[in-house]
Order: sequence, then C-alpha cells, then structure tokens
Amino acid sequence: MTTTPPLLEVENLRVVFDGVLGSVTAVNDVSLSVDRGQTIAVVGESGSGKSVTARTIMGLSTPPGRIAEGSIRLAGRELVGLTDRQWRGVRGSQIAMVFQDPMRSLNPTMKVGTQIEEAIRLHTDLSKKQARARAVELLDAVRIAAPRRRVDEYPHQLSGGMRQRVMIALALSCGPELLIADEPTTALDVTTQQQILDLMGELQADMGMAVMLITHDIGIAASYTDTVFVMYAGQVVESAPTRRLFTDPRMPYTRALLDSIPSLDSPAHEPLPAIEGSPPDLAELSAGCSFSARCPRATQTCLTQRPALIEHEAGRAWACWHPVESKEAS
Amino acid sequence: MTEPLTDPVAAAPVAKSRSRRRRPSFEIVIPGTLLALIAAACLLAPILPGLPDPNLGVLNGGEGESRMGLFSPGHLLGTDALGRDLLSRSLHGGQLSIIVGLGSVAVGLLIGGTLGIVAGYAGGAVDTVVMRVLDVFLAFPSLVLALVVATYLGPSIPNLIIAIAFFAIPSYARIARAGALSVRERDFVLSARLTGARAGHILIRHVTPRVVGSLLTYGLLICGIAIITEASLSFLGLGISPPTPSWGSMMADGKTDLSTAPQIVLVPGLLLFLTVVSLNLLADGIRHRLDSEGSSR
Repeated sequence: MTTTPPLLEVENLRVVFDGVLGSVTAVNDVSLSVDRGQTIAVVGESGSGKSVTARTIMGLSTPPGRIAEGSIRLAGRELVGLTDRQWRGVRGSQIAMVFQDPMRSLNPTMKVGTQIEEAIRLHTDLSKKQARARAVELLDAVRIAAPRRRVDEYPHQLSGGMRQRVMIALALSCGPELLIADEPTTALDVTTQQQILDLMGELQADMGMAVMLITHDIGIAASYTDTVFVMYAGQVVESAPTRRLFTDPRMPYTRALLDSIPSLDSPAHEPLPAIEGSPPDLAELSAGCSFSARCPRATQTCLTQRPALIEHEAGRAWACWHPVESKEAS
Repeated sequence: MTEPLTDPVAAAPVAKSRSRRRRPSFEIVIPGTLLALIAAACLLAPILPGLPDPNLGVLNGGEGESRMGLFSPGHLLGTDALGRDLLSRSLHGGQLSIIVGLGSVAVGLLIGGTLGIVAGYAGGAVDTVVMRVLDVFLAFPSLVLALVVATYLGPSIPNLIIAIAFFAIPSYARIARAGALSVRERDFVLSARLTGARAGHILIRHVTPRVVGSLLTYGLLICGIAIITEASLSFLGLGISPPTPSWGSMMADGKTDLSTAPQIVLVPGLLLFLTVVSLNLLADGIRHRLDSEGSSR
C-alpha cells in the first residue's frame, strides 16, 4: 500500500489572509493525500477552508492570501514556490479544476468548441483541425448528444448540465492526473447532479485519474468517494475511509453533521437535529479546539488546548480530546 | 442519458436578443446614413463630375469670381474671397477631417486601449503607475497642448493626428481598464488560467473582446471631438498649411466676410456640425444597443 507515493501530498498547509485588522488563518495545518486513481472528498460548511485549500493546490493563492507554511507535492514535485511559467505547465496538464457555476466559467462570447480547442493547443502541438477533432471526441466522451453540432454553439445555447459537461471536457482536455471539482454540482438540479457525478465516476475509471471533490453535501461524499476529509474552521478534524466515517464517526462534529441528515425513517413532525451556534470567526480563534463552543462533549481541556489530528487507527485520523465511542468496538 | 436538444429556458432570451438585433433602429440608421453620405461625398470629391478644382481661384486662372452667392452658375454653393468653389473646398476639406478623425481615434484607441487593458488586468503596481501617469495627462487642457504640439512638430497630417490622439489616450485607457477589471474577476478568466493559458493569451482572447465594444463606441464620440479639434487648430492657423482646404481654415478665411458673404463660413460650418452631431447620435445609438444586448446575457 505504501510502496507507491501518493499523487498529491499536502502537508501542514497554512494559508493566511493578511488584512488591515490582523490576519485570518483560513487554512490551518491541513494535511491530506490523494493516491493515483483515488477519489477523496473534502467536506465542510461555508468558510471551513475547503475551497481555499483547493485553490491553493491550484496555485491560486493571490494576495492578500499567502501560504504561510506547509508543502504541496504533486507526484513528488514541490508545488509551493513555483514560478508562473512553471505553474502553466502544471495547470491543465497535471491538475485541472471544475467550478461550481459552469455558466460563469465559460466565456459567453466564445463557442464551446473553440474554448476546448484552445485549452488543448496550449499543452500539445496539435493542429487546429486535430484539436477540433479532439474537442468533438471530448464532448462525445462527456455524453453530449450531437457533439459535432454542439462544438459550434455558445454557452448560452446549452443547458446547465451540458455546460458542466463542457467544463468537464475542458478540464479533461489534456489528460490531467488530478481533477479538483469545487462544488461541481451545487448549481445544478438534483437529477442533473446525479448524472454529472455518475459521469465523473465513469471518466475517472476510464482515464485513471484521481478526483478531489470539494462539497458541502455530505450525501454526495458518501456515494462517490473512497476517503473523506472533514474540515471545520480551517482544519481537518477527521479523515477516514468513506464507509467507516459514515458508520462510525469519531469526531463529535462529524457525528453532529451525520445526525443532521434527514432520513426516510426519521420520525415525522419532529425538528431535525441541528448544530447549535455558528462556526467561529477565523480571525478570533481560541487556543482550544475550534469546535469546543458548539460541542456537547467539550471539557476544560477542549477550551484551552487544541487537539492535533492524529492517526488513531490505520487510515483514520481525528482531532479530538473526547471522541465519540466507536460503535465497532462495542 | 437523454438530454433535451434545446433547453427552452436557455433558448428564450437568445431568440429575444436576435429579433432585437434585426429590427432597424432609427437611432442608428439616421445618423449612420447621414455620415455615410457625407463621407462618400468627401471621399469621392476628386472624381465627382462638375466639381471644380478646390484650389482654382481668381489668382490662378479659375473662372469663378470672388464671393459668389449660393446657386451661382457653376458654383452651387458660391465661392470664397479668392473665387474658389465652396462646395468643392468643403468636400475636399472633409477628407482631411475624416483622415484626422479616424487616424487619431485609431492611434489613441490602440495605445490607450492597450495600456488600459494591461493595467486593469495586471493590477497592482503596473496599474498604479500607468494610470497615475495618464491621470496627469488628463489634467492638461487638451486644446492648448494640442496647439503646442502642433506648433512644435509643424503642420502635417501625421503630426495633427498625433497631437489630437495624444490627449485622448487617458480616456481610452480608463475605459479599457474599467472593462478589464470587471472581466478579470470573472470565472471564465480564472478557468482559462487554470487550463494553463498565458496572460497574453487571456488578454487577447478573453479580455479584449469584452472591452472592444465600449472602446469603439467611445471612439465614435472622440472622433467627433477630434474633428472639432482639427477644425479649431486649422481655424487658429496651426492645422494643415494652405491652400489645402480644411473646414477650420475655411471658416477662418470667411470670418471677415461674415456680414456680406456668410455662406463662406456657413457651408463648412454646417458640414462640421452635421458630421459631429451624427457621430454623437450614432455613438449613443450603438451604446443603447450594446447595453440592451449586454443585459440579456
């Protein structure tokens, strides 16, 4: 298992935004790794730092944001500190990204085919004609009907789901090893969400790439991923193989998240369990566990000392002084 | 996997904007036609039948007399103090206005637009330096400086163009920068960066097309101002050297005869007025159209 190094290794990443009133640590000591061909999910609510993590991996930490410490290695190569020129060789060809809103991520004044062709020609020396043929192939690969006609259409002529397919085709155009999908289905309706996720799963299997799925929808994480990283207030608070995280959460935050998912057999006319309070202000983090203010299990220790993310079992780690008792142990 | 071929929701606004595009709009057609007529008459002046040489007067063997009135035989709009045909001189003078107007817009737009797009997209120190320098130019009284530049460089068409274009550069740059700033933050620019595109590629393919529309519209307005500036310089004797006709110098020549032969001033003056009004109306019309199309996207 540990013979091949992971494709992406993020270690102790800390991203700080410097403001006039002091700096905000948006990502605090985050470590995660993605193996080749693996799908991981980074789950967290708004402001938990999941998107900042993703953007930092893509080299998009622009001022006032900066990488305060940590390293990001892709296939053994350090990405922190690359020049713009070096980044251009990584983006698109090794890591690609799909965003939340496909309407805004496509240039409304350009034909979708042209946009894919240009992305292809940036990284290969295909001729215009070959690139176009490849664009048609890609549109076909993302299951767009009549790709020959669609290449000559503009984004506004496509439906939301089709636009997201185009974005995926664009991301796949140069055969990346890692695809980062930042809330790829949030702007889509539920049936389309399902189709897009299925498509990503199939393409991943076909092309053997790894996928890092950023989502706030823990349900999506449950059905499509191998490993889940739960983020809270800029930190990874628990990581585990997907199945075990869902059956046996250890960090109280994860537990509370899972409890708040409505299920078909939950009693009718009863309010859903919710997590009291709101996430802490990242500018005023206490010395203790960031979840302590909302945690039912919090003790004095939790308020004063921050628990580290420690691998307690093989492949599972959590950051908690008083983890939820394992159901498997009992 | 049955995606509907055309999504009715996405298709609806398209159909609307298409029908709008096809409907002729008077705001554009009327000033556009007028401009086209003036431009055609001016540019075709050398080959129009029955039009006398613009520089032939009483001093060099022309058949016209001094200060003939409107509708005189052989001189439809009369002649000036030297017996030169007013219609012919006005149309030939118009050529100069067109060349200087378009030329200065082209030069200003190219330089100002490029500076603005680069400053807006690059941001940071580049933006600050470029824009503050241009702000300084914006603070100069442009006609006075155009006067200085024209005097210093001497009267020739390229020099006139440079003198006039120079002070329009900051305005173009501001418009281009505003456009580039708004496009820069769009997700499609980010996604282009994420496919590994160079800044130059993004500027040309994604930023420029979004800025060109408003720049060209503004260019039409500035074209009118440039034509007026050229006429003003010529009026002050700093334009193109006589006897080459220009609207400004014709009006300057005619100002002493204003009470006895007003047509000498009025003919080129009216042409200048019509040209500039049409340019302004056309720019307004096009801006309206761009705005309404922009909002449907």
